[in-house]
Amino acid sequence: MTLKPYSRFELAENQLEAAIGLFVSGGDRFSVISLAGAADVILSRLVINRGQENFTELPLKRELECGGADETREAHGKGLNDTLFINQIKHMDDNDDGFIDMEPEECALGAILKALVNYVILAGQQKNIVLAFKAWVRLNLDPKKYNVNCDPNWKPHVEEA
Amino acid sequence: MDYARRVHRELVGYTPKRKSYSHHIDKKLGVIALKHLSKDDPDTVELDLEKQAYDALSQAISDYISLNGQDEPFVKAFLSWAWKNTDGPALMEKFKTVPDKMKPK
Repeated sequence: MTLKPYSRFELAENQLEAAIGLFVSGGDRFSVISLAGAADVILSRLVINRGQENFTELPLKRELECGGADETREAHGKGLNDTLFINQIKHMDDNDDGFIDMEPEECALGAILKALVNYVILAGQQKNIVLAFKAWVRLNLDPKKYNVNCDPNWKPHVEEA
Repeated sequence: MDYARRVHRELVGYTPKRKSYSHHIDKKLGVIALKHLSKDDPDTVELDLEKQAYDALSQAISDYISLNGQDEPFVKAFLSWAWKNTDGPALMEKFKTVPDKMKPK
């Protein structure tokens, strides 16, 4: 064995970069979710270790302020990961039937965006993968459905009846 | 995994539990370090990326072949690469000396 030391951040950054590369080049969406999900587990912990709020805590705090249920960070994080099928893609239980109903495109995008928020908290907005992915978002996503310009006052477009 | 547990039984004298042995192997392959981080884990981790990437792929391909055979192009490509780059003929000679009870069924 030729062991070399790697920082935890490096492990997460490389996996996130690979996930984004696969995603923007039309590669396998399940692998994107798996890579971005794995990266995000590490990034989330690194943010907490720094004493900052990670992506899971931000909406949790907002929900509490709006009178939502008092959930732990772990339970809320699991809920978010379940919504994006991050856990289902990397685990299979004894009683699973071998099938998953999901929308890979949306989940892959969500998994990258979730990890990217934590990545930005740690590394800032000016890193190449952040700039590249934001440029891809502006060019490729529907501005009526997604906040492609990261406008804090943006709201989804609602079709009038 | 079950084959590895059987080899463990022959070498060490008992069959490890599937869950704990699976975790042990994932740790050996660097898989745990790549998808988990606990509060008290150190900031760095030592890995042999080339070897662990190859070993992790070998483990997954082995299970894939059990389920789906080895006719898919990506499987053939990996097996050909492994034969050429890990000295397949020498490995097969070594494998012939392994007792039958320690070979895959």
